[in-house]
Amino acid sequence: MEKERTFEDIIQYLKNDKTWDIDDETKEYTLMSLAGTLFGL
Amino acid sequence: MDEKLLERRHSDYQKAANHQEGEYVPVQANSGSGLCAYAGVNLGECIRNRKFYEYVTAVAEIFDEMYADTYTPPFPMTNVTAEKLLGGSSLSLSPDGTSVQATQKYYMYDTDYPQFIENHDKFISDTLLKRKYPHFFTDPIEKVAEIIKAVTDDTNEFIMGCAANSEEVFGGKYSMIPITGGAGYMYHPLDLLFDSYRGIKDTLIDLRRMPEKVEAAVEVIWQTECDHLDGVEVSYPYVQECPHIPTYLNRKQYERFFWPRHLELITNLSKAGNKAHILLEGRWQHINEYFLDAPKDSCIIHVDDDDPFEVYSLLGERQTICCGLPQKVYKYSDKNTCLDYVRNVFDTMASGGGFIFSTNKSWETLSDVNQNLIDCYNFAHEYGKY
Repeated sequence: MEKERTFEDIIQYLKNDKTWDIDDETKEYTLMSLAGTLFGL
Repeated sequence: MDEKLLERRHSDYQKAANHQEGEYVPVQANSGSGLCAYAGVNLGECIRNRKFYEYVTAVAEIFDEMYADTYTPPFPMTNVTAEKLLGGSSLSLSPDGTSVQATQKYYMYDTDYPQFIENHDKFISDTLLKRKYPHFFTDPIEKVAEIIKAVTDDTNEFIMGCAANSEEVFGGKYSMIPITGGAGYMYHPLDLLFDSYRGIKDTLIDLRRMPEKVEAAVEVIWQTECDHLDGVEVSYPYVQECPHIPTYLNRKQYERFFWPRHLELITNLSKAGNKAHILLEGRWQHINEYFLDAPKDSCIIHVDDDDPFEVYSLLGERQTICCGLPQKVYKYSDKNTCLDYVRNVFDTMASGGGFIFSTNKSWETLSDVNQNLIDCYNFAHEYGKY
C-alpha cells in the first residue's frame, strides 16, 4: 500500500525542484514558513 | 524628496509621542482601498495585472489636495492569484472591485487542543493543512508543487512590489513618513488563536468552557509564533499592533488572558526605547485603564469606537492619544460641524504634545473618502501649528 503523503514530503519535493526559478535564500525562507503562509491565506 | 520637510515630520512625530510640542501636531493618514477608488482606479485590475506602481500612485493621489504627515504602506489585503489557485481565501475582493472582505472559516476544533498543545508545528502541517487543502495530499505531487510555487511567487512579488513602490511614492514624491516599520509587528498570542485558529465565536466559547486549555495553547503560540520584541535594536519607527479580541472580553477575562503578555510586549519595547502604536479596535472603555500601568510614553493609543475625550481624560497624561475625527462625524455631518469637532479636539488635547491627529478608522471604501475628510485634514495641519 502506498504511504500517505505528509506535508514534509511536499517540502522535500519543492526543495529538490530545480525548475523553480527562485534564489536559494528566498527559497529557504519560503519553505521554512510555507505551512504558516498557506494556512494563513 | 524634500529633506527638510521629512526631517520636520520625523521630529514632530517623535516629539508628540514623548509629550513634547514640535512645530506642528502630526497628522496621520490611514490606509485603505477607498483611496484607490477615489482616484478612479480599480484595485482588482491592479492586482490581476501586477500594476503595483499604478496602485500605490492611486492611493497617494489624494495627498495632492489633502495634508498628511504620515502614511501606512498600502497593501491590499487580498491575493487574487492565491484565491484562484487555492480555491478560496480568507480575504477576498468584493464585487465592487474596491473593498476587501474577510470570511470566517476555521479548521481547528475544540477537541484539537491536546494535539495543538503537544506539537503545534506538526498539528498545523499534518492536520490543519490537510483539512484546508485536502487535494494537496491526494493530487499528483507535480501538480501540487506547481500550485504552491505559483502562489508563493505571487505573494513574494506582491509584497515586494507594494513595499518598494510605497517608499518611492510616499517618501520620494510626498516626503511623508511611515508610521511603523523596521522593528517588526506586535501580535498577542491570544489574538493569533482568535484570528488564525478558532475564530471569534469559538474562541469566546472556549474561554468560558475550557480556559486552562486556551491558556496552554496561548503559551504554545507565545513560544513558537510570537516575536517577544525583546531584541528590538531601533527606537524608531515604532511597532504597530491591531489587537482584535480585547473589545469582546470582559475585565476579568482581559486581566487573566490578555493583559499580562500585552504588558510584557509593551514593556520590552519600552526598554528598547521603542513604542507600541496600538489601534484599539472596537470599544475598550471598560479596560483602557490598564494602560495606566504601562510605562509612561510607551504607547500611542489610536482610538477607534471609544469616546476620544474620555480616553484622553483617562490616559492623556501618560500615553500619546491618536484621534480627532471619528468616521461618523465626517461622513454624516456638515462641514462646519466637522471643523468645530476637530477644533474642540485640538483645544482639548494638543497642548504639551502627546497628541496625533487621525480618523478613527481606515478608509476602506469610496464612501469613507469625502470632501469633509479633506477639509478637516487640511484644517488640522493649519490649526495644529504650535
